[in-house]
Amino acid sequence: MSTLTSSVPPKRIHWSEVSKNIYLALICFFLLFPLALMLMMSLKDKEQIIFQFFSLQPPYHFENYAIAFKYIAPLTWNSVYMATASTILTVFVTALAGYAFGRLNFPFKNLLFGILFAKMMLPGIMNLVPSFTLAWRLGILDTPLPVILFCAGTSQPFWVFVMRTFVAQQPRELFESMRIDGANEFQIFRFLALPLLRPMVALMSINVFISVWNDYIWPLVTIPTFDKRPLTVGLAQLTQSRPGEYGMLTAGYVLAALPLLIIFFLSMRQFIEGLTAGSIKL
Amino acid sequence: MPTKRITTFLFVVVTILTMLLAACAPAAPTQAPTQPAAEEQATAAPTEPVAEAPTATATEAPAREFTIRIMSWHGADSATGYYKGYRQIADDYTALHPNVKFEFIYQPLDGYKELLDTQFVSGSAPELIHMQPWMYGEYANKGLLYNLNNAFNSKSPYAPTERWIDSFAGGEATFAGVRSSNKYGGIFFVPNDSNPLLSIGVPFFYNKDLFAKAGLDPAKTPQNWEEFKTVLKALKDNGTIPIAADNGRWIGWSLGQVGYQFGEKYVDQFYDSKFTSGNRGTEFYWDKVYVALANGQLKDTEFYNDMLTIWKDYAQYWQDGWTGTAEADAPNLFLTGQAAILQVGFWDYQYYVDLIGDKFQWGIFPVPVIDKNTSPYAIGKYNAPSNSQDYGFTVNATVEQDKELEAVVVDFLQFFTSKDEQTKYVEIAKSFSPIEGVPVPPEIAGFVTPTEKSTASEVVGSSFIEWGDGAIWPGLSQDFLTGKIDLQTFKSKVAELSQKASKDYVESMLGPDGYAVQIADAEAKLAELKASNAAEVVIKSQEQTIENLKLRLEMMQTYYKP
Amino acid sequence: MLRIIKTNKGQMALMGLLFVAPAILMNLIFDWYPMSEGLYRSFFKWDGYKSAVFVGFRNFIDIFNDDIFWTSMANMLFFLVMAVILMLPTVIASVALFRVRNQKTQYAYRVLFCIPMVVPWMIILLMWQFMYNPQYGFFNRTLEALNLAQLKQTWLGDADLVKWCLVFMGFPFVATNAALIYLGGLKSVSDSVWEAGALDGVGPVSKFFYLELPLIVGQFKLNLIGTISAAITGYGAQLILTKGGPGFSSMVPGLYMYFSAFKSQKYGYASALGLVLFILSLVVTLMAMKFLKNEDQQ
Repeated sequence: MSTLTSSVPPKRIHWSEVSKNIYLALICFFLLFPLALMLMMSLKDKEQIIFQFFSLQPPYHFENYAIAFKYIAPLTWNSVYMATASTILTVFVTALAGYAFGRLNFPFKNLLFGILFAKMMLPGIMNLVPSFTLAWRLGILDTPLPVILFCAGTSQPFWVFVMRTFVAQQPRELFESMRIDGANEFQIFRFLALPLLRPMVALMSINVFISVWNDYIWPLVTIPTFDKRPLTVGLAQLTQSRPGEYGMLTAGYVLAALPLLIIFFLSMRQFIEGLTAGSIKL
Repeated sequence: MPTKRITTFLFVVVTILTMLLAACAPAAPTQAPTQPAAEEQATAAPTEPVAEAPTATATEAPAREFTIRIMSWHGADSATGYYKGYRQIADDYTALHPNVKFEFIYQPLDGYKELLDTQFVSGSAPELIHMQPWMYGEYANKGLLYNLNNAFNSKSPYAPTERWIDSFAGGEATFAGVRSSNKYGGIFFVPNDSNPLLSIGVPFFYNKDLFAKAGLDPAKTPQNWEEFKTVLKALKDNGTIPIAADNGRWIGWSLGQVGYQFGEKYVDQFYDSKFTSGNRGTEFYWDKVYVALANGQLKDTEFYNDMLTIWKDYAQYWQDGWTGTAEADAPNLFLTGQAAILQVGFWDYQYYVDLIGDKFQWGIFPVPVIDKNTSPYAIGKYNAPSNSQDYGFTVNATVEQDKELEAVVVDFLQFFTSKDEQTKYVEIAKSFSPIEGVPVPPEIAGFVTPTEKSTASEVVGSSFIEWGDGAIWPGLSQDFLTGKIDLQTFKSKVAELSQKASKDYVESMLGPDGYAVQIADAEAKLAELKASNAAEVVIKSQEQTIENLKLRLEMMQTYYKP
Repeated sequence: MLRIIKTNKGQMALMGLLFVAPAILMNLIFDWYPMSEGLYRSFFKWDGYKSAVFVGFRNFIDIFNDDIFWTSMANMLFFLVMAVILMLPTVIASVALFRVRNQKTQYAYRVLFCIPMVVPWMIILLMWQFMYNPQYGFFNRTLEALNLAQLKQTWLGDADLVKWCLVFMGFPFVATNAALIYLGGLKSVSDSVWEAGALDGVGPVSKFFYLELPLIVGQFKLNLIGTISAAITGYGAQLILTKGGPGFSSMVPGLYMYFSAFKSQKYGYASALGLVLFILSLVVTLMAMKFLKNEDQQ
């Protein structure tokens, strides 16, 4: 807030600015509230959670973390690289398709888009066994490939749509001028479309990363070797061995979210640059 | 030309992607060695002599190495001691047979079925699979499990009895219900952690402090339903939640508490005595109920009104808003001293002991009997013991195709259920044993309800509700218990559902995939047994199975009216 | 000259196909192909493993004669309408966020919007479960503390309140993903548009309707599609918290499909339900698109 006041010339108070900030701050408060509760819960025992749900009174049960750590830590690396690889592949494939659907003309464009579009409407609870059968026939069980490939196959339709919308919104001349300058389509994609799409790429990356991070059943059934499984498997074991111990379970969730937050903050620079770069600079 | 380069690049990416998929396909057989290998074994089998049942001194026998995988929802870090018990038995066996190793696969119940379903698809399911009571019927009927019938009828080297099955408490009779639960009339699991002759109920844990606060004598537990109601009322009047209920399993559990007290052998009136006497009474139980339901004979009975009225009356003692309480949340009410009573299975005993600690004084009591004072139609007896084996370890059907492996697995299971090993086991795991003569550990003796009065079996009770569509009857029950629909509407709706489901079942059993196939399979198996000079008891048992299957078919054909 | 344009066109077609090929292929192989088995099975009576019997349209006829299905559809319609109405707060929040002048403050809000994404939905559900609990939950205890004990409710256990309770779990009704998508849309327009608007002295409300709203119609459409398909096929909160109860008052078709598959082993029936839901959300979405398009042109 201090940066706000210092950067605005100290003339008069902009009431519209203040009300906007109050409104947004309130929203942020409610959005962040579950996170705060999660942190609070992770330090409590059962009685405290039930009777002092919103209270911050000690004793704090740090041992919750010690116990949860044993289950989470050994599997964290698996989650990191599976989620990273899935994200990179999915985002690349999606951005490429989104650009093409938004800017290029090619045969069967509507049909191909329809395939992705319709997929968004399909309720997907029955496809565990058929998907597994496919992964098995491909001989990729017990590798990270089922997670990565199926993530790339299933999570893109909505985001292709997002990318397409953004590309289509950009002024046509921007692309034409580059084309006249002799750039090929891939160059246009690489040096114009991708930077333009950066905010959406960042947003999509976070979403895809988190969805792979939190996935449990699919990696469980496709990766038989325990040591190769993601940390959600550790969380499930923690839940079963201490049923009803919400404090410990929540500590596990907090630990599971920590690497997420770290990766999140490391990539934040990319994210902000993308969002502020705007279209004019290019 | 750059465009061309990029085009080529993209083309390569796509091609690699396609090739990756294509190239992976041939690798499939290495992923699933069990299926092709198993087929070879199966075709080769007839030419080889069938392995004799190994004896206790099999140490010098085949040097072939075996690794037997055992899957269970109990693991090394579970709150219970079951895993330690299983591990002990496995280690003891390896000590005797160093060529047989065991590998335990621990999978929490969350995801257990999904993992199993997919492992069966890829042929990588483990050799031994722990299954809950509701699971083995389904997998057996899908043809995925090994029929242990012949093994049970053979001599076990670890048991003093003539046949393995005789070493189980209650003997063959306790397997009748198990045979009835699958279309093969077979036995698909080796019982464990239960005893059919003991009435191991799912009793009530109660908070003695809250009982005292409500002016009740904490040492005196209700002996019948009227006393139970008095207790519940006293608790409620005192402002305590009498019973912690939830919108998940509790609906079925509470219905069971009331329902299993009505209609003993009720369906027998519809059938000829040859389908109701002796072991067949129990063995044909499921089929008889299915046919009666399908025929609409159980749409209404003289006891339904009483049964349902008692159930609904009971619901007023559950906490306000129980329909919005998730299964995992209900125990919190009890553990935090807000609700006085919670129903808990003995398998969670250790877990609750730890959780309650010294927060309050507690005890357990069995589900009280509904006697004639409450309803003239009530059976008036404890509804258990089940006299029926409950659940245990199943064997993957694929072991049958490797005769040596089959022999080792069966031998291990026989060792597993030897009296010595089981005695050791129950002490470690604090569990029950199905084996004759194995003592009950004192810690869990309280879970055994008095058996003097308990002779009720083949209870029809609330089948006309629970055998209907599982996606619908729990919701209808909530509507009934909360007064949204009346008793008559509820009765007719659930009866319609169970009639439909039963018709489906009976028609599938009469259809091309039903009993006809099972009988043909069983007869082929009998011919195979005779050709390989199997033991007399085994052949006899197989003949018995065929006869029973034929009778079950005959019963359905005779009585089912489409 | 003509030749160059022609080759460009041909090249563009080729490049376009190549660009979308990885996405389409992967979607077809890893999503459509496994899914097609389910679609195919909707014409069977199937126990989920072997013994599938072809029954033609039997499952669909059963669905249309199934009271529970229609009850769940009515509930779903309620959730769908609420979900669409409650898209509005997100639009307002994103516009407010966009109008924050100080870029650093705006950035801070964006970061704060993203952080809650790391909280798994299990925790959110658990939290609401604790708040709604009639015995020790936050709402009833607050009412008690305010001497309003007579207003205490059983919340999720009340057939009349349960749907509202489930809707209220979206509080404060700002979908952060959608908000950031809107923000991206607003930001990608050149600054001159905004400067022109500011110079004209347009008020904040009319600025919203005449400048900002038309600019994010595209983004609104895609969020609308997401919202519609999620509302028609979703069931997560019901599965964990209410099991569709009390009775069937919070049963939705997605949950009914789930129960049909995993509680009654009626996989064929569940697949058919899935297909019905698919067609339904496709039709509703296309209708919404058509409607928005017409609005666009006016």
